[in-house]
Amino acid sequence: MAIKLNLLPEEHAVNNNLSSFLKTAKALGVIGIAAFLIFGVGLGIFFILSTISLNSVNANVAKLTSRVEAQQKSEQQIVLVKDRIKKVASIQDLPNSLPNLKAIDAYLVNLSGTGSVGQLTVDPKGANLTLSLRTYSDLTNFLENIQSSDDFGSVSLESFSLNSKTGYSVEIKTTKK
Amino acid sequence: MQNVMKNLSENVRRAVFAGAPLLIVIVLFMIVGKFGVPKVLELRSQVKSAQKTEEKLTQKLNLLQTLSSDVALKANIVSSALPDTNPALAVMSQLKNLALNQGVVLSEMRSSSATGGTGGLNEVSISFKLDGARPQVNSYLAEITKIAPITTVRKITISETAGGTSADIGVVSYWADFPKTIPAVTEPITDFSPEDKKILSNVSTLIQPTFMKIPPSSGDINPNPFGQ
Repeated sequence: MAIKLNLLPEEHAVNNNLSSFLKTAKALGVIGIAAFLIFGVGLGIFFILSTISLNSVNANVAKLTSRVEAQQKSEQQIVLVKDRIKKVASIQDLPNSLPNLKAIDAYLVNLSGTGSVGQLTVDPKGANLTLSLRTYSDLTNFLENIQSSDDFGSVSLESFSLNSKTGYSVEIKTTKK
Repeated sequence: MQNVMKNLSENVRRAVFAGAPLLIVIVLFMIVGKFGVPKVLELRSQVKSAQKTEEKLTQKLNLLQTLSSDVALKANIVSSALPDTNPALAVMSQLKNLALNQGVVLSEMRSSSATGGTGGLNEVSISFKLDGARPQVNSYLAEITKIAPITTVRKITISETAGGTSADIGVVSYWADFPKTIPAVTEPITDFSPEDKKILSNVSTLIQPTFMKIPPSSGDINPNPFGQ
């Protein structure tokens, strides 16, 4: 049977618990150094690659910038066209009397022979119409037509008079729908 | 130092020698973590930012190259429709030409002082009197929307007599300063939207004003106009 001999002096003897700790610490140290080397080299490679990539992208950006700057006149014109389009669109929303004229005119076209327009005032809010109609039935037909239409927000009879020579004279006010 | 180590017990000495590499590695990790990693992260963010700029510039360049072929013509058309100076004279000329074409008599034309409108738009009001047959007057009014510079009809007063129709018309025309700055080189630009194209298409059909160019008077030029 083999005999274990310990020839070390008493003061050089290592505690058993400490011995296992030392083994673990040494192993961890070796693993740590290896991990650090891998991490450090990896980080270095990543740094170099990123620097190369940044230089390459920056060079391309500089090239593209000069090409875009060469097209500055076109860009100015595009900015101008877009600005004008925006403003033209806003003009389209501004007050306009023509839709109101078109709406009321559709009813006046049918009048020929039965009556005549004295004065027609049209603004963006609506229209004001002075009209002479020969007979009562012409008057009622006209009023029924205009009041039953969907072209106006409101239709109101502002004044009404009868002249034995000229017939009925009415003033009608319409508002925009 | 050696004396200190000799004075230490064997256990402590061994522990120090075994733990030192681990401690050094931990310190190195901390130093690299503190300075190296942020530097690399900053570099990556610079690369990403540069790549985004590169992408924007590529798109912008492609769009500029696509649009540059006809943008000059479009710029002329929209500048004529909405000029940068008071268009009263051009509008008056257009209204007179329109009256000739529609067979109505135009008179008492006057322009009022210009006013600043909303959204950078300035307005000038022009009033005039029209005489003619009712269908021609109506046709004239409808045609006003087809002239450049853009003009809208604000007020119409039509009086009908046995002799025909007389109308007092108030129209408004517009102008606006041209843009004074263009976006930064790296700012992206967008293509014209379908709504933009529709407006462009409408504007391009407007009747352009015609101006008469007066040539310089012919004859001998006096070489010494201030001489005796």
